[in-house]
Amino acid sequence: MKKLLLLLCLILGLASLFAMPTAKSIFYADSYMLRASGVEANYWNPAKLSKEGHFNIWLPVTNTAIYISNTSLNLDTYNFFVSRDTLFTADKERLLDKIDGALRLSSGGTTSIFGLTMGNAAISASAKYYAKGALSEKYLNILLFGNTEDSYQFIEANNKFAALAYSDISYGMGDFTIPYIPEQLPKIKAGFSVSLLTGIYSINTQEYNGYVINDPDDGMSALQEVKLRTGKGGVGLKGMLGAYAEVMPGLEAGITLDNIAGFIKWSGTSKIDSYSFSADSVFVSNIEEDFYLQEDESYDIDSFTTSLPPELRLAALYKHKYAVVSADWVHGFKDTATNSAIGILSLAVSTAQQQGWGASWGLALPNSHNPLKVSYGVNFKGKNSDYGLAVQSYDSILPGMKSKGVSLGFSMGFGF
Amino acid sequence: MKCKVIILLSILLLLGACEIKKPSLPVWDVDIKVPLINEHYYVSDLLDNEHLVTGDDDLLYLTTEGDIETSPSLPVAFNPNISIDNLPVFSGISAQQDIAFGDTGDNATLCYGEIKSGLLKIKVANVNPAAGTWNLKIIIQTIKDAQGNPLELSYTQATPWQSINLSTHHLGVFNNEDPLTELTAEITSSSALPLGSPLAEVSILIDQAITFSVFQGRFDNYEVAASGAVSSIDIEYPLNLDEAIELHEAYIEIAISNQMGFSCEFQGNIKATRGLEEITIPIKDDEGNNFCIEADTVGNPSILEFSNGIAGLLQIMPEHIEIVGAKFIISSACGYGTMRESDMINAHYTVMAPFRLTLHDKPISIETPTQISISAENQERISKNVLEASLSLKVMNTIPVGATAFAYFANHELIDPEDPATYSFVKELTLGSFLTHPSWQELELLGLNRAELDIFSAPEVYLKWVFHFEESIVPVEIHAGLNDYVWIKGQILASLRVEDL
Repeated sequence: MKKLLLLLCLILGLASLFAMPTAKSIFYADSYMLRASGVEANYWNPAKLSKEGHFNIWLPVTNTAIYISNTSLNLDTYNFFVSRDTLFTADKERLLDKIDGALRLSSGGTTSIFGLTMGNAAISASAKYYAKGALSEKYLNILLFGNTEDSYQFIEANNKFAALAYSDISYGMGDFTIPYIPEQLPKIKAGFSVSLLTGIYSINTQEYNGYVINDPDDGMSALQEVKLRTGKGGVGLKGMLGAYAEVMPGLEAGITLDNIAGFIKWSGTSKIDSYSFSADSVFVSNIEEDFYLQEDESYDIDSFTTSLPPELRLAALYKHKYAVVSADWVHGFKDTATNSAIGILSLAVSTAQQQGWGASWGLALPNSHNPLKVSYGVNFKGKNSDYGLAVQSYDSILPGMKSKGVSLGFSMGFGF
Repeated sequence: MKCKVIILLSILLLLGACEIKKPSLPVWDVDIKVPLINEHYYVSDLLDNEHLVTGDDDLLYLTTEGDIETSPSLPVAFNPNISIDNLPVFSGISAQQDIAFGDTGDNATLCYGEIKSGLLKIKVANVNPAAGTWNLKIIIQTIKDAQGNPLELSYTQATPWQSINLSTHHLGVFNNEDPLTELTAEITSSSALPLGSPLAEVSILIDQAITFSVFQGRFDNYEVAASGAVSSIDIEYPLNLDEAIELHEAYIEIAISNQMGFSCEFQGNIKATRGLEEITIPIKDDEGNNFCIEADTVGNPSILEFSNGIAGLLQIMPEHIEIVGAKFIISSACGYGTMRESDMINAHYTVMAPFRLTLHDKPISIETPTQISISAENQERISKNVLEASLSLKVMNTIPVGATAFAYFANHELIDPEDPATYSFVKELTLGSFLTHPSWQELELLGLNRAELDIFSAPEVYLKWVFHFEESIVPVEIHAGLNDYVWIKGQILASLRVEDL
C-alpha cells in the first residue's frame, strides 16, 4: 500500500498531456496506459505487447473518438444567454465571471485506419487532428460593456490558435525483459514503437500583438497583428519507449516517454499569413477615410518542422477481483496543439470481466488550462470481439447542461 | 447485467436531456468613449493677411488698404497771351523788342520749359512799295530749338498771319531758377530804301496756351486731382462681429510716392459708411493742417500717419471705407521745382485698428443654419442603437475673451432663437475668458438624451448658432502669437444598444 501511495505522490508531483492517442482512452478519462493491450498498446505502452497476446485487429473507423470543449461556458450558460431578450449588467458579469483571462476552446479527434498484432509486435495506422484556440476575456468585456477602460493590452497567451492533423503508421514491439534487474525486484517489461507520420495540415499562431488605447491627449490607437504559419503535406517520425512492472500482486506501474525525436517536416506548402490592423492617434474631429491601415499579406516560406514535444506518462494499475483501478499522470514539455505543458492526473475504475458487459468510469482532474473530465463507458466483450461506447463530460460530473464539453468514443476490436 | 444496462441508458438519457436552444442574440447596452478632439485653435489662424494682420507684440489688427493715384500731371498749361501789333521796322536799323511773358492766370512762374505744344504767330504787313528787294529777320533768343539755336525767322515779302509751331523748342535755361518774365525779339532788315526809312510792320501773337513737357519754375496754387481710380474698401465682418465689439483706437497710414519735383500738400477726406450711416473726416495732421508731401520721393515714399477721428470713424464698424476729394496742391510755399509730363503721385493707404476693444453681450447670430444630412442608414442606427450621447470637453483659453454658445436644433431651417416653438431644443456651452479662467476649464457635459436624439432620426437636421461674448469690463487686447489660442480636448461618451450584430 505504501508503494501505491508513493506512486500516487510521484504521479501528482508531475504534469501531463491532453492528447487522445486512441478512442478507447475516452472510456477512462485517459487513464489508460496500463490498460491498453493489443493494437492499443502500440500507442500507449508498447511494453504491453505480449508474446502470449491474442491476434488483434483494428478495422477502419471502428475506433473513433471526437471531443470539443472549452474552459468557461456550459450548455446551461449558453441556453441562458441565447434565451434572454436583454442582457443586464448582472447577466454580463455572470458571463465574464466564468471566463478566467481567456475563453479557451479545444477540439480533437482520432480514428483507426487499420491495425494488427502478431505476438509481441504490432503494426497500425490512425489519423488524428487537434485544434486549440484562446480568445481574451478583454474582447468579450469590450463587446459587452464597451471600452470603459483607457487601455487594453492583449497578449499572445490569451489570443492564439493552433491545429494539427496527421496520420501515422506505427510499428511496435514489446514484452522485452530488462536484464540485470536484481531478482528481488519485479521484472520490468519494456517495449518500443516507431511511427512514420504523414502531416496533413498544420496551423499555428506565430506572432500576435494587440492593444486598444483610448487617450484623451493622444487619441485612440489600436493594433491587431497576427501571423499564422501554415503547412500542408509533410513527413515525420516519432518514437515511444515504454516499460512496466508488476510491483506487487495485482499492482502494475508503468512509464512511457512518447514523441521521442518527434517531428513533422512540412515540405509541401509552407507559408505565413499575416493580418494587421492599426490606427494611430485617431480623433473623430480629424478622422479621414484612411484613418486606419489594414494589411493582409501571404507569402511562402521555407519548409519548417513542427516538433512534437516529448510527453512523459506515469501510471499505476491495480487489479481487484471485481474492479480495475488506475491512475495516470501525463506531462507534456511544451504547450502545443497536441500537448499541454501543465500536467494532468487522471483516475479510472472499471469492472473486471473476462466476457460480457462491463462498465468504466474515469476522472481527469482539472488545472488552469484543462477542465475536469469525467468519463462513462460501457462495453461488451465477446469471445473474439470487444465493443464499447463512452461519453466524457467536461467540468461536470455528469454529462448534461453543466458540461463545458463532451467527448464521444466508440471502439471495436477483434482478437483471436 | 441489468445494472450495467441501466447505467448506459441513464447516460444516454442524460445526454438526450441536453436541450440546446435555438440561438437568438439578446440585446444589450455598451458604453463607449471615443476621443473627439485635441486641438489648439490659434488666433493666428484667423489671420488672412488682408483684413486681419498682426503688428508689434503680435497684436491683432483689423486693417484695410487702398490706393490713390493722380493722372499724369503735365502738360502744364501756360497762358502768356502776347499780342504786339504793327511794330514798325526801319530799313537797315536793328531793333530789340522786349515782350512781357507771364502766365495770365498767375498760377505759374516759368523758369524753364520744354514746349509740348504752342504756336507763335507772325504777320509782316505794310511793306514800303519802294523797298525793292528787301529782307527782314526776327530772332527770339529766349526760344531755342533742341540744338540750342534761337528761333530765327526770315521774311522777304509781306506775309499774313503765319503760325510757327514751337514744339521741340524750349524756353529759358535748364535748372536756372530765375523766372522767365519776357521774351526778347531782335529785328534786323535791309532794303533799297535809304537807311532809316520805314520798311514794314511786324505783328507778334501768342493767343493760345503753351504746354510744357518739362516745366521748371514755381506754382502759386496748382492742383493735381486724384484720378477716379481711388480704390475703396469693402469690409465683411465675420459672424456679425461688428455688433458685439467696440474698437477703441485706429489710425491711417498713407505712403505717398511723389514723382514730381515739387513738394505738395495732400488734401482729402476719409468717408466711412454703414448702411445709411456715414461719417466723413478730413485727413489732417495733429495741428489740423494738411499733410505736406516731400518732392521727388520715388523709392522713399513719404509716410503720413494720422489717427484723429479714425477711431470714431470705426465705431460704426463701417462696411465701406474710401478716401474722397483727394488732391495734391502745389502752392507758392512749395517753391521752385520741376514737373515732367509723366510725373504722378501714388499713395497707398492703410487703415489699422488694433484689437483693443470692448466686448458687449450682444448676440452674434449665424444667419444661415448649418444643415446636417443624415443617411437613412445612420438615421436607423441612431434611432435603434444610440441611447444617449454626450461630449466631455476640457478647454484652455488663453484669450481674454469669453463667450457662450447656444446651439438651436430643429428639423427645419426656420429657426428663431426668440421663439421656442421654432426649434426642438437648445444646448448651451460657456467658455470663460483667460482673465476669469486662467487654467483648464471643465465644460459642462453637452448631453443628448434619447428624446433629443430622436431629432436625428430625420433626414435633415438644422443647427443654428448664436454666440454671446462675455461683457468685458475694461478694454481687452487680442494678440495672435504662439501663446494665444484655445486648446480643446474632448471625448464623445455614448451609450449604445447592441442588436442585430
